[in-house]
Amino acid sequence: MKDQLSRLKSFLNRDVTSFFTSSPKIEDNSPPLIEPQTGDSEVDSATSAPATIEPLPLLLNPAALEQIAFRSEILDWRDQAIVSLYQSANTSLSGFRTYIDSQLEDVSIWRRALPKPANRALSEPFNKLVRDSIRREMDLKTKNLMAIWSKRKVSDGSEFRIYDRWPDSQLSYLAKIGFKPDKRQLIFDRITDLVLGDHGISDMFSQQIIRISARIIDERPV
Amino acid sequence: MISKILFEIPATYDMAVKGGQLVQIGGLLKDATSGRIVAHLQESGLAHSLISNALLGSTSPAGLALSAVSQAVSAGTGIYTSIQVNQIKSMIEGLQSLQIATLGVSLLGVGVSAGSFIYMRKRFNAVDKRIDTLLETVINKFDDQRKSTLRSHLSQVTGLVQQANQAHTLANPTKEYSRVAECLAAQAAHFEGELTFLITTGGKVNHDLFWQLVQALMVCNSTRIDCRIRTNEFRNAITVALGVSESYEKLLGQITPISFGSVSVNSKQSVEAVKDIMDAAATKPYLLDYLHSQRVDGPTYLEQLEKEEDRPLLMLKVA
Repeated sequence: MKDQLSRLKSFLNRDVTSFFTSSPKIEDNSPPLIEPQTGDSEVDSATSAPATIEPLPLLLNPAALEQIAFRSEILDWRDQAIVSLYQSANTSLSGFRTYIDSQLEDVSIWRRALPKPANRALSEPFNKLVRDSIRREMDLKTKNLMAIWSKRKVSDGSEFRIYDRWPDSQLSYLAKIGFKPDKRQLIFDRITDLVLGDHGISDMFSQQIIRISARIIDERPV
Repeated sequence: MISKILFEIPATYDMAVKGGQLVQIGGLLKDATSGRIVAHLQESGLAHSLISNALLGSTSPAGLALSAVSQAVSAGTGIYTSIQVNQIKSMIEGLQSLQIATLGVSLLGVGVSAGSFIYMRKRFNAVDKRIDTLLETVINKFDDQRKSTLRSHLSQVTGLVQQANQAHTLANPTKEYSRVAECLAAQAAHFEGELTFLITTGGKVNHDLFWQLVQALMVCNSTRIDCRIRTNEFRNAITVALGVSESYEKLLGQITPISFGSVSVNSKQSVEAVKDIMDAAATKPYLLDYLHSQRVDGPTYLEQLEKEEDRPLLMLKVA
């Protein structure tokens, strides 16, 4: 009896947790703390390696990086084309001013009294010295673009050509100006406007470049 | 799975990048043949403390051209110690070796934003002051109502970044970080709207105002992603980063060398910096994805970067 009482007493005094020593441990499923380390690239072999836990699957597809690279390439092309366009425009404009100067010097006395309209005097040389020069630059840029596009081997990219759509009628803005020396500055200003101003040649080409690049980025090959 | 995150220095990859075996896109390097991501560029907190002074004086992305920064540092403005000068030069060399042209990528963190909220706030305060000056002296298209609204949003962002900075002292910082992130999403939307208006109303874009609004937008986006990382909400951080990348492409992709007027050295450099910003934003989700897949603890990762004292640029090697 005494023995049974003492056993009952020791049972009641027993630590509750000791009843659970044989039950399975609850596993901690929370991801372990991975501490980033800065230092040499060689793993410190002195530390013991923790248990390996499989990485989670990547959520993003790295193949999409190709799209980013392509976009970057097209934007680079766009910006280089615009810079080249304006450089070419400025250079040819500068050359054309020199030509105008030399022509104005040769205007005869009677032509100073009855001047030719400036557009008649300048249309042909303008097309040769300015427009053709800019067009050649744009043809080169078109080739560069097609090279970028065809690398993706989708099509030859001919649908993305840059065209000279600037109307000849724009030169009629010079019609009311007589081609004579005292109109030199006015002629220069108008020509500059036709080349570099809003709705001028450079503006026409740059808008095309921007539209083409936006379209290509939207339609980028998969 | 790797048990340690291994960082290397950019110079380790120099030869492979020059040789064409590795290709740099935004803030990462990938294998030219397999397309596999090899490493992510990651700035340490040291980079932000070095850059913040350099960028505070910059009123345009043109000042971010690495050559310009290098010259400014070499000229010796008294801001930097000789050790810091060497660290900045090392950082610039690191970026150049990866064929990155401007500090545009560094504006608010290459890789995971490692700039502490203190530097974020410092940067934003400079932006705030600059916009204030512009509103008073230069911008006459803004009516009083619009000025007042813009100032209000700027103040709110200042407050939110401050609150993010103080969140760690709370008993439950997670809730605070989440709240700040949500609020900053709304602020980002406002600045995005201002930028859209500025770019699309036609005519020349005011270069200075554009640049300040871009920085304000980037503070908001960078801080909100940072907050999500601090709460280990990597999936959300990835989603946010993808959305940010898309909105930058739509918005900043419109900027060309003639957006600010005539083509000039300034406008060309601005466009380069803008493209670097877009590319860095486009590749940020991939770094976040990698950290998530490796089960990296966000706060610990950020803390480690903030404590880095020797190297401003690190490469996170992909296992």
